[in-house]
Amino acid sequence: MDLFTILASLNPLDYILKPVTNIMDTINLVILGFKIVILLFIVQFVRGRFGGGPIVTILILVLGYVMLFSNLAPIFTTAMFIYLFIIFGFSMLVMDLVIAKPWAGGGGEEEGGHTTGKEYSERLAKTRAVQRRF
Amino acid sequence: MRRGFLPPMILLLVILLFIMLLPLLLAKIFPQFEWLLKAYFSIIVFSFVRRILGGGIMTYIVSGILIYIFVFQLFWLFTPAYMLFLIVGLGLSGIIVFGLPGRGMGRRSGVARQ
Repeated sequence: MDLFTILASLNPLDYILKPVTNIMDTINLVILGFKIVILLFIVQFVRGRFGGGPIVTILILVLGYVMLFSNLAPIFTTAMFIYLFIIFGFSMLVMDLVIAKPWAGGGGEEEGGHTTGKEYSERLAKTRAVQRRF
Repeated sequence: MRRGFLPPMILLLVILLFIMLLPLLLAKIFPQFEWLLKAYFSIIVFSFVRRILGGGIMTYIVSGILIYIFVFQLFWLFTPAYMLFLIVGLGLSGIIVFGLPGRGMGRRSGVARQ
């Protein structure tokens, strides 16, 4: 076995690139998993609106293609990611941190007093319900 | 940046990270706990898919793919994400934000500072 064959079999680039390719593989796996989850959400949405049937299946396929594989996919997937964050309740955490300002301390009532994100959204919903009556 | 903003946020991040990484730590120490978590997550994923697709062969295929990806391949990523989802979804984040960091920090955490 000559030196070139030994060096080629060692392939030092592999040692450098392997962690990078591993990370990329993981990211691709995460993206694939999220694409399947988004497809499930699309199925749920379309079936909830239009029921079942062949036309609905075609609609699901078209929407799935547009939202996951077309040129518009980055926009839709980003919007879907934000939507998932909101429905999982991360907005409440952000509102707790931004509106209630727990680091401000002092127990002051001047900025709305004891207000959490949940209370704020409940108050907002009550106000909207009152507005709807008129 | 507002004065006094950074230390509570760091404390909050540390608490969240601890809660998120605790199952992974336990799974590392006790291998049985890892299998228990994997079984639990598999049931969660399967029930999520069945709620959307109903009972059928597609449910088994899709949930099998999702379980393979999220539970077995990305276990180290899915477990902290699920714990974060639990914290936020059950409203425990309010307790952490207002309660745990100490009396001096939160308005709801006790007597106001003099």
